[in-house]
Amino acid sequence: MMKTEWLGAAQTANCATKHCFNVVMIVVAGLLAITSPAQGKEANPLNDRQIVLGALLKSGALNKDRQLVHLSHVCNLQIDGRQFPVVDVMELVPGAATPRGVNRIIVLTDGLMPVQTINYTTQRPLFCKDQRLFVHGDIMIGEVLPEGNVLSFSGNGRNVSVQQIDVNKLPIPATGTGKPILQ
Amino acid sequence: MAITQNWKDTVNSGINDARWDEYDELIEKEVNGLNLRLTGTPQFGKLDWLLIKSMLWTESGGPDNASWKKRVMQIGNPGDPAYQVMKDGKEGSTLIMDSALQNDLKTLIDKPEVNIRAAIAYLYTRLAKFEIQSIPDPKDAKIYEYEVKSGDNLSVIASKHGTTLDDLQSRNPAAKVMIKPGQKLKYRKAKMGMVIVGWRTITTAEIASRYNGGGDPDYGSKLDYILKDVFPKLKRSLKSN
Repeated sequence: MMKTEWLGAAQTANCATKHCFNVVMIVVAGLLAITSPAQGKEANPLNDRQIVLGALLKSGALNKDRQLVHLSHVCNLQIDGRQFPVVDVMELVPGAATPRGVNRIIVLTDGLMPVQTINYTTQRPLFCKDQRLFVHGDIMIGEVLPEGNVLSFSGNGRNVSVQQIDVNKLPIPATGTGKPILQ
Repeated sequence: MAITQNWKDTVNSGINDARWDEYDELIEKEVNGLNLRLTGTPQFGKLDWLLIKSMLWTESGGPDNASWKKRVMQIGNPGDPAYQVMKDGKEGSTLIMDSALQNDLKTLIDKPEVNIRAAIAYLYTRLAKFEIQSIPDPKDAKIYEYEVKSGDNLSVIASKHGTTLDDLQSRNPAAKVMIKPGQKLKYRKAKMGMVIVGWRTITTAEIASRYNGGGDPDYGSKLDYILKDVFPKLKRSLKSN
């Protein structure tokens, strides 16, 4: 929006005729038209968590006796040319004095059906790169060794293997390079 | 996060209230039994029964709470994954608990004695490290021999003869590279299964992560508080016998 106003002001300063004013107004209107969908999105953000929540409830992936305390869409894996959304689900089981945590990374198909569930405790899912999901901390699959901080998926998300990578060598550029992780 | 004063007041009330020790004997006996049974497993370090007692104090709310005479360790609360794991014998739990407990917890989980035993077994399960390995049939120690035929591969041979790829490869190193008709392979009946290959270091932080599942961010601090600030002030012996 600021860019639009600046362009309009600059052109108005160099135009004295009615024709020139009209041209400026057309340019301004055009730019507004281009930017308005983005502004609308900010005003009414697409809440994909509601869509994911609905899908998880429908598939029975969520336990109705637990408290859902966190649900987020982490990233999208690219497996065999298809996208697989990764969601982070944190639930609590209330107790007499303390709750137990049930934390899961759930991989969904592009139709939002769960294909893979990985339990974790105090770790966190971080980001996707191609078919790999990087996590903070070490995770096991099915409570069986090995454990590692990189989960590599294949077979439409149904197969997963674990690797370990030095945390100082994560395959992502610095944010300032203009290529942040948005997969 | 800080532990709430309300929770501290609750556990502090146990300092002068011997009812909080009601399950000491059971806990100590169960922990001693499991310590003895699991001693031969790699890297095993004995668990101190006071850790379980501190978990009981942390979770139960004490003898005035309704759960004290039921699911005192909260195993089997609606939505509890621990109960499902133990009931179904998942995540290696059958290598920890005995068959009597596995039967009892299916129908008697609301009994505090069974609830405590289930919780102890679940803690050991969560602290153990498991791998899937080839397990020789304990009832059949015979070494069999098979002559390779044209078109065979190791996976098919293993499947057809009740053994595993790992067993065939370990007894016949040359077969790891290739097999050829007429080659004789030794094998023992075996199947793939979970085995305990090690143990996590027993700390309150590890228990908070692996047992509590990160549900209560103060769980480890609460255990520390009870072990370091509450138990030393008890006006009675901590030994049950």
